[in-house]
Amino acid sequence: MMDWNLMPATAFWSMLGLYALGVILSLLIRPARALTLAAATTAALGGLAAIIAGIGVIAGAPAPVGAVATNLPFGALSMRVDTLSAFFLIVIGLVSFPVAIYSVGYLAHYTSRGRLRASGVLLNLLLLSLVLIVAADDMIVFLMAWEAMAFLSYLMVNFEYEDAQVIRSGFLMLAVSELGTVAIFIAFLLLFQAAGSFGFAALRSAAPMISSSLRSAIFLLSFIGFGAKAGILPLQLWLPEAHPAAPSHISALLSAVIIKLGIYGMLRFLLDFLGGTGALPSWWGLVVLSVGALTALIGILYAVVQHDLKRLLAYSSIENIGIILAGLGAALTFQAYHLTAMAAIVAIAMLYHVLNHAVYKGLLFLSAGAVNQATGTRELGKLGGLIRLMPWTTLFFIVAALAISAVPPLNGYVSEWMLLEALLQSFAIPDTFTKMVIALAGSLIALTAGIAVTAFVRACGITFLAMPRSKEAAEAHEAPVSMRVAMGILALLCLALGVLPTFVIPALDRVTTSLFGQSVLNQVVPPLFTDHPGPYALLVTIGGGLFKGLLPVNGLVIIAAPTFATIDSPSYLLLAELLLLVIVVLALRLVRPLGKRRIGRVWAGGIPRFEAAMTYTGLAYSNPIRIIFNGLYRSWTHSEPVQPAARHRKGRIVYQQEIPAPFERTLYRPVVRLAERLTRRVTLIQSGNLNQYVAYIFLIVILVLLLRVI
Amino acid sequence: MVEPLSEATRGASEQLKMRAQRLFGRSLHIRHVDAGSCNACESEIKLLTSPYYDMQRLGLFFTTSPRHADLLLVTGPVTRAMVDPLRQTYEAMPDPRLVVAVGACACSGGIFGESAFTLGGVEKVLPVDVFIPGCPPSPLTLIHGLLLALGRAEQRLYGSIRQIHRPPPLQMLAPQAGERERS
Amino acid sequence: MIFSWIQRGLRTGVLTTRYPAAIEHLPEDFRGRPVLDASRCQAVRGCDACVQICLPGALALQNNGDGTTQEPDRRLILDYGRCIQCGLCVTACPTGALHMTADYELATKDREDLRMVTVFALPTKSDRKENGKEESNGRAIE
Repeated sequence: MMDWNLMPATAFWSMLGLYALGVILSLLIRPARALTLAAATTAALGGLAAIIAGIGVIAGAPAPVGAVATNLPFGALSMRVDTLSAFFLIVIGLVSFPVAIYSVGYLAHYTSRGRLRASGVLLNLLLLSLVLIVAADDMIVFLMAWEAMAFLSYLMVNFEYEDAQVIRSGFLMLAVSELGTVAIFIAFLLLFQAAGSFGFAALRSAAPMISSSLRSAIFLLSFIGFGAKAGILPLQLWLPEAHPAAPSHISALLSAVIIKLGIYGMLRFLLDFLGGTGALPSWWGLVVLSVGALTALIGILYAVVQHDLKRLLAYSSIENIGIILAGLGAALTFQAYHLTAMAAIVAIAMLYHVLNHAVYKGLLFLSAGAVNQATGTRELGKLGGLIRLMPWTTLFFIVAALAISAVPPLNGYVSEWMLLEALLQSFAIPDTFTKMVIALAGSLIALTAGIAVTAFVRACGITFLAMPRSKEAAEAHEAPVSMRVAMGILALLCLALGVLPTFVIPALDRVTTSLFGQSVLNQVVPPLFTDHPGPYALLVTIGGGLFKGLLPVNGLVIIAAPTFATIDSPSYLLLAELLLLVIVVLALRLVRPLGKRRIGRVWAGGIPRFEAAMTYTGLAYSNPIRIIFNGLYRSWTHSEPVQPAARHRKGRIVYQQEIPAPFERTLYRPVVRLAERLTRRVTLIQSGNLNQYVAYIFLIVILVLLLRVI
Repeated sequence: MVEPLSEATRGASEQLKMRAQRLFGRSLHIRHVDAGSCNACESEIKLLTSPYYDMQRLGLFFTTSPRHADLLLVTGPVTRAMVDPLRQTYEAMPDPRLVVAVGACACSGGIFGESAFTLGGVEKVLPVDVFIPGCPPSPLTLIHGLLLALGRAEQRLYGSIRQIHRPPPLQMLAPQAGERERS
Repeated sequence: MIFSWIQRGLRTGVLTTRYPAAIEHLPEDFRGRPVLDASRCQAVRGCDACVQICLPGALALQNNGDGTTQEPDRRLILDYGRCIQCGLCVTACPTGALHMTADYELATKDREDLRMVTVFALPTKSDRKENGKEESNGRAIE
């Protein structure tokens, strides 16, 4: 019998070993198929191990701890998987498992063995670095793993390096990532200066000793640094370029997992290190909240006008990061006003959203990848009618689109509902300005949710419905089995996380207990399945007690806030939906229909033949939104008649529309031009004259000697 | 060409028509199709929505989509080019549905008759429920026809075969003073 | 501006016709449908003035029978489904057998309901021989 307490540790170490094995196998195996299969297997098993380790730690097993003593100046390298790390391990595992399975089918048509070998090595190394980031217990391991992740993801984005656009996108991602790393580095160094040691424990205990202005500096640096990785405004420019350029399973990994590591970093810094100081300034939370709400709105506004499917999904990731940050900001604000219970509840909603987004965004990218592989294009204007040719992919994409649009009974509904409810709780805060900001942020998030539905109705409808708009789309074929299995796993997860939220929330509560010191489980999931429901007895009588004794949870009802919140139960909602479906079908059977059913052609004005050119275009669908928000987009349209047949008849009209990326003209170009101007001054020292360089060395040595003396 | 309805189908369709009349009595949506008419009938149909005749006070409405329509109003002798679109429009209408032929052309081909370009009446393509003769029928005739389709008006004209046994006495008609010749 | 419209509307009152609740009386020269007075029609004597002038062929003459299997008759068929209400037949008829009524409730459910057939029995040879009379004008035969 295995000691269950040792299970997480075993899983954790075997996971590291599996990834290392994967690297070795990728370098040794010769046949291409076996190579991909081996690399994928180790990655998948590693993902499973990550899930097991994470669940084990959250369930209460002791955290796996490890330390490697080195002779290097920075002392021991230590790792620890506490509940926060365990949660992110689960996220990594839940996404990397299907991604690994998917890669078997996705890479099947690449023949170059060198490329496949590189892919296998890089995938396993990348997953290893992700795991090390969340498991790191000191600054050095964290930063080394962070840099490794940045570099490895850059290499993986450049999988199709023949395309110059891909190289440019990858480089942009690396550049912004490094910018963020600099900020993170400085934040860590400021803490280290107070702590004297690199370990997280030391940093945590040193934080209260730092002056509040220095703490605020650390807050800003870590927010900007980790935000660059997460993709907040205005540092999101790399995300819509890099995520589409990468191969689809890597896009899924990037969007679902890697940007969440930015969130992990923020949680570590703000809630773990700096949160322990007891007095959080309220403006921190407001900054995070405002940036989050604006990121969400601008992200989705740009998503709805995209004509590249994966770019649309990338902007949608930006939107969801905004929502998560809004949750984080609200949690920080509630905590600043000592409403710890409310802060913990918002944090639970935010972590739930992290998990949900990972699952459904991963699924969206994997399906988009299947579409791209089958048709060779990502352009919405060239796709269409794929529902008949790729029914499974369509099904999975639609499930994910429903989930991201927060439609019950899928998972997006639970987390968005809880977040919006939490944002409505701002009335408990005494300060008027804070209340206004939170209320405004809440309304922006609500608007975002509405536009998100539009964006995904458009994505689904134009891609999968109607008729194929190009020869490539008409010749599409269904995705191979491995890809379908991977997508199916994520789709089932979407459903499970949506229907059984009261199994997930206790796990998240364990995470927030470690961050806020308070368990809010009994407030969020009232104990209706116990013998003493206490103040919730009414809920039991109206049906909340159904399934008592059958299911191993507190109850199946969620209450989103301590006061004035609505009560919901996605689990019972699913039952009600099924019951309603059965009743409606029976009613239709029993009531005699008014007439016989006739199946006829689609009515399109009596025309003789349907053509794809008659179907709705993505441009037309999103045009109203573009017109309304044109002040933001500053779009440029141009229409020009070509081949006029006669003075009174137009032959053909060419219509062009361009929407520049956000902040490109107003922020990035000026900054880049400024940097170029400054560096041009600095290039003066590069004379190419060897003697001059030797003179530099001489001068520096004299300077150092002088400094030693002073 | 439409096959003639069998007796059983005719009985069933009669039942359906009566039920249709009960269903549509208060609110009828009409879809008009111009199957090659000269547009005189359309001018009269257009007047139905004018304030003088105001068909909407009777619960009659025009609709653009056959999917929303209960009654198909056809004008024109049905040119060959319009056979298929007319049929598609009829097929796009959900049951129960009615068809009304408006004008001499839709009833019988009118002055165009049956030719290389015209079929000679809507009956050649669709099963017609009400015939409204006229060239063009005035809006009052149209209202009568539509209400007849709904069972809200009585049919006044019935075909007759009158047998005359005695040849009538020859009696020329003398032009009367002051009577104007009709042109 | 709107106020003057309201004033005008109130002054003018309701213009809508009350048909079908009340009978609408049309002017006398409204061309509704032509009606045949069979007591004046001379078709049996070979008159086809209306048939010749009818543009769409709403009026038609038909000779039936040869006297052996059925009574010979001449039918004048007036098909309202083809009639364009031009009124030329009214003018052309020498005996004034056709006159235009101002009927407007003309719709029918059946195509056959639009056909008015007047059957004129033709005098047979036996009838003429029996009576032994030859009427050039055609007198009534009992």
